[in-house]
Amino acid sequence: MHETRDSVADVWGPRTPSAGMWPVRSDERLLEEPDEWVQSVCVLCSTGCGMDVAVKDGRMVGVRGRPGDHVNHGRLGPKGLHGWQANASADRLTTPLIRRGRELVPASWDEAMGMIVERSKGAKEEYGQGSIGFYNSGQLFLEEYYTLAVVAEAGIGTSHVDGNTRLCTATASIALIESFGTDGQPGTFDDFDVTDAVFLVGHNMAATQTVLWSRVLDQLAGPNPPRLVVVDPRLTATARRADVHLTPRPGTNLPLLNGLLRIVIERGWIDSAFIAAHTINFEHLVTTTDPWTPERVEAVTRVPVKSLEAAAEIVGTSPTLVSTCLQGVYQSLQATASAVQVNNLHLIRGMIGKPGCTVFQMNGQPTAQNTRECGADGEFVAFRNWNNATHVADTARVWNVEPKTLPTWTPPTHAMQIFRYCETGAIRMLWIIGTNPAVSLPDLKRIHKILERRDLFVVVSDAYLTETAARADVVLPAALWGEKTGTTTNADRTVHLSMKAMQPPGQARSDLDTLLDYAKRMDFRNKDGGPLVTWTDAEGAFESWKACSKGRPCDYSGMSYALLAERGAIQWPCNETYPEGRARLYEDGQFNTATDYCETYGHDVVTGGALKPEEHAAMNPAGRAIIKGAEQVPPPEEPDDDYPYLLTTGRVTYHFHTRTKTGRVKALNAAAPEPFVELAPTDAAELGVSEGDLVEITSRRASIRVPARVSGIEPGVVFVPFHYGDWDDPSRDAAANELTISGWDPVSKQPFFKFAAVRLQRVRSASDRDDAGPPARAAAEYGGTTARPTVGAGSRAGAEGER
Amino acid sequence: MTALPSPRPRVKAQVAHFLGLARSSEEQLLDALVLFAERHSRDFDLSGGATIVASWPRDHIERLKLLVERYGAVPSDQPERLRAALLSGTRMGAAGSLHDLQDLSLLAEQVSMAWTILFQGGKELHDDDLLALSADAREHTRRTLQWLR
Repeated sequence: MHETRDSVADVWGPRTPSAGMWPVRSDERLLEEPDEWVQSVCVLCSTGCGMDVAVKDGRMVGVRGRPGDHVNHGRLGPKGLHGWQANASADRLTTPLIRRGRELVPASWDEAMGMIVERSKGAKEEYGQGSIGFYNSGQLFLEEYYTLAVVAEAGIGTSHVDGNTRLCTATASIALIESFGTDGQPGTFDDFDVTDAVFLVGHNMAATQTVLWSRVLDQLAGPNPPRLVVVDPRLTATARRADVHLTPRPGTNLPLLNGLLRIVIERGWIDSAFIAAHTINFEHLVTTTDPWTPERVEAVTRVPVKSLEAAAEIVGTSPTLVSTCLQGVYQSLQATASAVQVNNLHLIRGMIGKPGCTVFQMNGQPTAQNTRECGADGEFVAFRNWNNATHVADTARVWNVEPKTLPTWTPPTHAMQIFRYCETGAIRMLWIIGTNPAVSLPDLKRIHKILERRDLFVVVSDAYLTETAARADVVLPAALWGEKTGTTTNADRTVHLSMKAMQPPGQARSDLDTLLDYAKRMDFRNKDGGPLVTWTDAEGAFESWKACSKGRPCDYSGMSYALLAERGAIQWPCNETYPEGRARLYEDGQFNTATDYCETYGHDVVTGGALKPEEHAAMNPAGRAIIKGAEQVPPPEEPDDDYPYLLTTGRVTYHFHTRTKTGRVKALNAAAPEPFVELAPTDAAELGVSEGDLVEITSRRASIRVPARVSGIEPGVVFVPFHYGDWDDPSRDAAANELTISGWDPVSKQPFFKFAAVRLQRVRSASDRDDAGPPARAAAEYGGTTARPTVGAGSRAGAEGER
Repeated sequence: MTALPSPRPRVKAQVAHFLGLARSSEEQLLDALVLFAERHSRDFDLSGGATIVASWPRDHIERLKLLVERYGAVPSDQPERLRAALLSGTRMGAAGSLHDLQDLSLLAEQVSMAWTILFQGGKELHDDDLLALSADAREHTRRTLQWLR
């Protein structure tokens, strides 16, 4: 085995201090010498690192980062360097399975597909096209999402199509649309190399996007380090590097951001010319932020006045600024309203469309961007507006169907509503592709009941027998990344081509092949009587997608597999105007808000109420960005004497989602084998809990039991990672989502994973636990937090300069 | 020549009347929203939204106290009669929730009408408190109606 660095022991690797251009360093890990290298991309987070896969005798034997790739400059993180090994896991699904009573028994593809087709046709005939739903993933390839969108919307004619991206990225997409008119990340990762300030709002970049964090660390180690402001109730590895670390009480992002904006406006740190020329509704923001004085912000968020002012000084006066939002915003209360305030900060300072100036509404999952673009997630295809008849007609033209057959008479159904329809019997067949709702959705007891309903026919396409697949009626074995060819798009609009490096095991097939087979068997036709789906492979799907995206912001029409293979990576739009692709959007201050071009007519970001087309037209943004202010509203549940703590959930460095892949890689699993609950030293003392003690956590919905980790989290707040279902240990009772609420943001419909009221109780001390595993690794390596010093009331990292 | 009587007492009496109507309408809307949220607790799109917009009637009722002290308020049972007619019985399923939303819209329209008249009154009487509350309340009610649609 040869590796250029031990990415488990040293997550972010050795420093290459830089100012401006980020140095190149190719990270590599090889188990054997390869016969060949195959071009690919990592799909274990939304950074999308360019990588090549080493192949020997038809097996993957290693990976290396591609040095010339603008995204990662050759670097790879621990998941990238190790995750590929999950493909070879012995418990891969290799045949279709069909339920007979309590058992799932092997079946042929013909049998399985025959059954699915029969049930589809039956459901459609008896209950209508709206009785079929599709719940897909954030990890598929562009070609698969696109084919799914065509099959579901034009073939079946259902609007019940959404992805698990609802849980991670929906707010990112909606926030961009509300402010800028359409989805589309305005900036490029190169902006991190040249900016004077970085503002990370609810984004533990160190744990969740390790290579991008390496990039930031290298700037921090260089001669011109940017100043760093971090918003997070936990003292994470990210927060430890902050100049100012704000730790708001969970659920109070909006008051905090309103307070920051109020200071920026009051001190005149705004670009009035930009505001006048390129935005509308600034006055509304002045009104909504006015009540949020620093004192009021402190009372509600517990962020001290001095910290708020220090943060405002940085984000308000820095000559350039890069901000990001991620789950700390998106999975908390008033997610869309809060995310939009970060957009507002950049709009009122004119910090957009130029080097070092941008906001990233970060994507959670690796290919979440693609599902948003292809319309497999509840947005309409290619950032079109389902409510705009011209846009619908345009799509119908590309797909060669009658416009009226596209299910655009209602907004697309969001994931939680899809499950609600399953609960009421309105949906009779649910096809789940590449995701594990039995662990990743909120309020799991309710979800398990739904999946187990007799009147719901559940099809699961996956590579392993997950907790969800175990409850299915038909399971289809899926090929993974590396075993199929396709393209992916990351969080700075960079498109990569991932070539097939090896055959999938047994009879596993790519989701693309499965969907093409389904389309053929269902005999979906276009309006001329020919087949609806005219492509037979990934490249064919990509070519159709190019035509579909032409003229829309996510324009791929200038790309091709050949070009992607040659150049390695291209940022959209790539067309006649931008044949090399385009690094930044909105360089001229022209946004996509024209009424006939925008993706939606917008919403009231507090209530979710939708604007009518005439209301949007009356507003007449005409290419100017829309500033939307927001007031705070009461939370869906509050802590009380019975449930005095606030629970937040999230990720650790070494795992992805429900550990379907990462849990099967020895090195990654060993680094973080068990769940835990993080609590503050003062809370631990009050509860009589010591490190490693087994703790029972109870919400108004359920209980779980996990060992305690005493750490630098805010008092009154506890953190549990959400990865740990029971597929690998049926005795484990630690799925964080048992505790979470069936509630979500009114605009983005993204669930409140980071806000629930709980109580804690010690169950067993660490020494009495017979499941006590190896000694805990340092909390930092979990992507967790270190203990705060217990002396000194004012010892907050950052304010005191602890680095 | 007799001077024309000051419009103020007449306008003040109208304000008292419509303050009473506003208060009763807001109370009925609030009750209806709370009932609606409970009835549709399995549908967070409905119950969560109702809980959000219910914070506004609560706010208005609180802020009304000052103005009621100033002008008095003539109690009105009109909202109660309207509310009793609406939201009655058990309404099941999607059709039921549509019906409920329509009923809520009617109640919200009633609130809106009262505040529109009070806004006029505020202008005539140069009462900044009345103007501010009416303006806020009209905007909140507009947003509530937008959500209900």
